[in-house]
Amino acid sequence: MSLDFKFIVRLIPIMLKYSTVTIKLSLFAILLGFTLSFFIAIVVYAKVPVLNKFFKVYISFFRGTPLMAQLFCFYFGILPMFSRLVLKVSSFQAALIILSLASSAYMAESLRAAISSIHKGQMEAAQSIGMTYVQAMFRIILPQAIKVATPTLFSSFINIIKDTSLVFAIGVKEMMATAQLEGASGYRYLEAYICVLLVYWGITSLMGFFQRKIEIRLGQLVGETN
Amino acid sequence: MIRLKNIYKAFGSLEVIKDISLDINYGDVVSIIGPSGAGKSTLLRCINCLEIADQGEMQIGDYHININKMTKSDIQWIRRNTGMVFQGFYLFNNKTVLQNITEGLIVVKKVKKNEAKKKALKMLEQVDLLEKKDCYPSSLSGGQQQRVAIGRALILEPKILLFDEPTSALDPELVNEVLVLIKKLAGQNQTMLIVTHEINFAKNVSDRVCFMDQGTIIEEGPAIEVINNPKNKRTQQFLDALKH
Ligand SMILES: Nc1ncnc2c1ncn2[C@@H]1O[C@H](COP(=O)(O)OP(=O)(O)O)[C@@H](O)[C@H]1O
Ligand SMILES: [Mg+2]
Repeated sequence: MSLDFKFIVRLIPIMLKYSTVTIKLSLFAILLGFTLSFFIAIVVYAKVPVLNKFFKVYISFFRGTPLMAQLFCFYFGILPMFSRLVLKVSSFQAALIILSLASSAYMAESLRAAISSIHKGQMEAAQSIGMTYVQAMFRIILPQAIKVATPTLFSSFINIIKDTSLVFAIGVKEMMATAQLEGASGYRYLEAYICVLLVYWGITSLMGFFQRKIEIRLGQLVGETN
Repeated sequence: MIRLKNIYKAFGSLEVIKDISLDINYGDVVSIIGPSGAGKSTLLRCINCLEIADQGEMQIGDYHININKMTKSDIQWIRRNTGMVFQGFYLFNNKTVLQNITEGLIVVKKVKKNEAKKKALKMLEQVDLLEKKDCYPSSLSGGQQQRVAIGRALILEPKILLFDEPTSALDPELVNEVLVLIKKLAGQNQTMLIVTHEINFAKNVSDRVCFMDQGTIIEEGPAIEVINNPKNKRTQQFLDALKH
């Protein structure tokens, strides 16, 4: 059985069409997850009482359990308990929520580590000239920490993109779901999944391109440190 | 004037500052010498509120503070009115030399950006680093970084400038440029409290010298007297050991 290139060529546009779901889900999850991780990292680093403990458990839970199990538990387990409520959560929204929460745990961890890696003298110098903790954090510490964290943050972004391939399992109609359908129609599974891989590879390569751009820009903005 | 009264500070069960009192008149330069671990850095950090002392009183000009009743706004006031120069410089790595100096003016004193820049350029002239204004700290020598750090503290017009071993992290050939600058400030009547191991410098620049050991000021007096004719035995031993 040989590779049916015509089938691949015919399938690529269909995949690209469904890749918009993947891209939309990824972008929103990156945005929400990153914003949330920022908040969590600062809370954990500053040891804000109670919240700090809560987020430590949060990080441990989301990093220590499989994404697929989280998705199923939330969508098939928790959401139906609230089905009486007016609030109706689509499978796309459920996927977005879980992806954002799970990825925020990873990103908070890299941000926290990056903040800790900044010499404590930076905070002390800022405070010694009269800056408040929050001013010092946002003007001095975080800009340096972000630069340190950029590579690990981008691997988190790329992981989010790849993890969107799991959400077809709760019924989101995206590339994997389409590949299965199309593949089944002519027993052309290999071709169908090759298409999926190619499109994902394209999207993540684009992300790598942005990463290089941002690293160069941060290098100029933050000053090359030796 | 600046007055410290009965300051105490412990880390857990380790008493680091034991009942220190010290008066510094405006325009005076006071140096603190003493062995490592004596509590010199901790004393400066307590004055700057990077550490909060356990007990005691502080007076800076007309501002009186009982340390037990110190509020957040007291701490903020003290930090804005005392400057600190660290052994390790600690310039803001994400800011240029110019931005390091304007940062406090803009963020803390709410000075307008172009006005802050004008002032900062003058300050850079004073510390002789105008040509480095757009450089990042990592591209400067240690001596240059320390001079920027002095400018960063000085521009906020602190009522007292605290130096914690400002030349101890420098290569020997870079020590002098920093000492020359501090001496120049002394000539301009900047009030300063300097922790240093440069005994000759302390003798030359200070009005008074304190010898500190194990959390207390053991001997205090005019610079030349304390360094040339110390009365206390421990001061003598410390100074003798430095000569050899
Ligand atoms: N944050 C801290 N926590 C615990 N112990 C400290 C801390 N800072 C300083 N010390 C201890 O206090 C003593 C005095 O330190 P320090 O003020 O740095 O002395 P000096 O500057 O005279 O060398 C030392 O024994 C040091 O280990
Ligand atoms: Mg010290």
